[in-house]
Amino acid sequence: MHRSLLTALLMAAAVMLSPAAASAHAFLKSASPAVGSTVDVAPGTIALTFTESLEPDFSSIVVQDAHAAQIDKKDSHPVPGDPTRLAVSVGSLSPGTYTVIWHVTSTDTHKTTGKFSFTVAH
Amino acid sequence: MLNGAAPSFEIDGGAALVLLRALTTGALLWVFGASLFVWFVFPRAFSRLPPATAAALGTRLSRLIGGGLIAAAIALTLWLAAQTAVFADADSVGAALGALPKVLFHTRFGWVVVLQLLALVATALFVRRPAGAAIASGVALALGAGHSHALSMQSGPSLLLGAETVHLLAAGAWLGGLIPLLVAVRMVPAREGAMAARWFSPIGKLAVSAIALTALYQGVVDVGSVSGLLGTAYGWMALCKLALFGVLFGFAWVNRYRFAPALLRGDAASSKRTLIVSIALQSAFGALIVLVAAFLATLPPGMHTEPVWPFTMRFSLATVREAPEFRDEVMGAVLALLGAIAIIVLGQFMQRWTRWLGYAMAAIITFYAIPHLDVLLAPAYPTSFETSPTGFSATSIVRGEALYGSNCASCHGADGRGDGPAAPGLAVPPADLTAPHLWEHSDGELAWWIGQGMPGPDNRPVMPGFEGKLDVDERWSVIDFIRARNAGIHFRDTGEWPVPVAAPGFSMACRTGPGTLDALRGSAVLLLLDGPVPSDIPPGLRVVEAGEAQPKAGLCVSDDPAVPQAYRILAGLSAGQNASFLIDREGSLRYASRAGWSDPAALGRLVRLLDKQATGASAMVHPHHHTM
Repeated sequence: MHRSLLTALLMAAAVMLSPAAASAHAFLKSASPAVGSTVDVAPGTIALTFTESLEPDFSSIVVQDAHAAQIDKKDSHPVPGDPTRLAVSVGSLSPGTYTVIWHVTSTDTHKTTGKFSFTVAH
Repeated sequence: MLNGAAPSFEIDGGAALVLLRALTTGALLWVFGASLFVWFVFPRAFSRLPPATAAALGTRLSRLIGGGLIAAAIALTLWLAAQTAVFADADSVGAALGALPKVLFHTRFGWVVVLQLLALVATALFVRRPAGAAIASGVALALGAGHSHALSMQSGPSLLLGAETVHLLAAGAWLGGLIPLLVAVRMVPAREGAMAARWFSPIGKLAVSAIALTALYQGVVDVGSVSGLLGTAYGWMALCKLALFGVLFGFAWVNRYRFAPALLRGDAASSKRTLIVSIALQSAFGALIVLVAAFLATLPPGMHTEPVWPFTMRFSLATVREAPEFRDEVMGAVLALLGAIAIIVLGQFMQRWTRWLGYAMAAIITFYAIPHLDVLLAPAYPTSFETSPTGFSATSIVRGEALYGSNCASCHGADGRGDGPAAPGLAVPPADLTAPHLWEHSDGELAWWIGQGMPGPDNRPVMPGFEGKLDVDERWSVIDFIRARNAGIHFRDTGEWPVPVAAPGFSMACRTGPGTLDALRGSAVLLLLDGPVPSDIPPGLRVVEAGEAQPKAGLCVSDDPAVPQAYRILAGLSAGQNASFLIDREGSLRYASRAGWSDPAALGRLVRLLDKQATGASAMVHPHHHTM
């Protein structure tokens, strides 16, 4: 009987609620180079797109090489025209795996962090 | 029924930020509600009050507004200070002070706080003009919507921002008016007390309707899904807020329709005490709801956290879809339930005993119909509604292929048909991962089985869990590969994909700079594993060439070896075989051809077809186009 009751409740809930897009903390939406990708042409800029607009003064990207040494140019900056994008410049990258670490604050005051890596092939 | 799993209630910035947010919001609701009460209810309810009492009440209410103003200003300032410290990761007062100008003038939070403080000053200046004070404090409160999620999702006005503003103002008009109502009922004679409650009623009714409507909209957008509601901290707090709203509504109902009218009859003194206690309790619940709201505003919405499904079952149409004999059973049960509802509705127009007979019949029908809906339930696990973080990327599929070979193939077989070398020795044969049934299971369910193992009919494990052997990302990659290979084998055999399949994502180099397949969403994409580039590219079609390093004019390239490898898996091709793929505007694979499309007219027709036919319905519309 409990099982049946749950069926009824779940069905009611399923009818009432339908998926819709929303966000409220800035989570990583896409990255260039893509998360976990292998690229042949080393990028000059790492650009991240988030799910919501950012406070650039309190957001930054750090890029580390395989030895955890910071190799970006410490110039995290918003991408003009898109408040959800943040970019950082890097010099010419030699082949290897790099880790991108981001600490961002969304305009609704929430902070999120995360990291991913990409590989420069040759 | 419950599996014991619960979502995490961790919040960023800590409890102090939640408390200060709640105090600020509470004080702003108070100032606005009290100002509105003085403006709207006072002149209507108390016109026949003795001048001395009216003046005394007026003074009390002005002080109430003044106190609220001071509280709001202090709370807002403290919140600003605490938020600044969190923004700047400041570990000392000095560091926080240093970051203050940056927060005040360079962040949206800072701008909104400054505007709110200015609106509070305006309210103080208008303190002798009720209309002005109500409007100015309404502005201070409404600006609070600028602290919400809505404005960060979409800069500029949006329906969500509008809903948030209306929600705040309605909450202020209702909850903020409770304390002045309490004060008034205590100070004035019973008759005027009843009048105050009566004149407060239209504000309450309007506010409650507005709160319910806006909350429903915000809830659907922010919670996102059933699993978001039942499996995330955000969803749980939203349910908690809904329950508290129900309690508040109950208080409002009895105050208006029981306790306030009682003031005009019989024992006025005891009726007055009852009403006062009831309003006081309602106000306390109101404060609690403000605290829950502040907590809710600090949590990431259900939409964006991975839900932890708390039940051992979930709703599923898989059984009905795969076994048509159950379809009639479910339809019959649903019709019976609709009949039961119809009987209850009809009962409303019947006499009492007929109505109760109807209720009894409806109860019996429900009791016998509901068990037949059991086929709509499937076993579920805490991770059932988790989504994969890999984004079904080419890299992930290729990585999954290698992991599958070393961990899964011995039982499930190289092709996934459940015929690996170790399979004959097993009591329960390994699952055929090439069956269409795979698509009835979510990524989260597959992740649970791969991580925790698969129990057999007698609950003894028939597949070991790989949690200790494969890390979480590796397990998601294995799932990506299993899905890609399932789709690829189906495509090889039938020329169609079993479900709409996402085109695996990858990075590319374009003339304009680095890009991703994801960024090309909105245009149809032609992916060539091995040329030739069509001489005439139809308008709106983007072309990507794999196996090339140098971008050409109007052409993006990728030399990531994972790209041809992943796409070959999805088309059921062996190593070395190549094909061209057409990807629609929404990023779904739609056509694959080993010969490619050399005739520009034919390619143009296909691209127009992609644009016309919405994705989702079928992965393949015209199988005869596949010249595999």
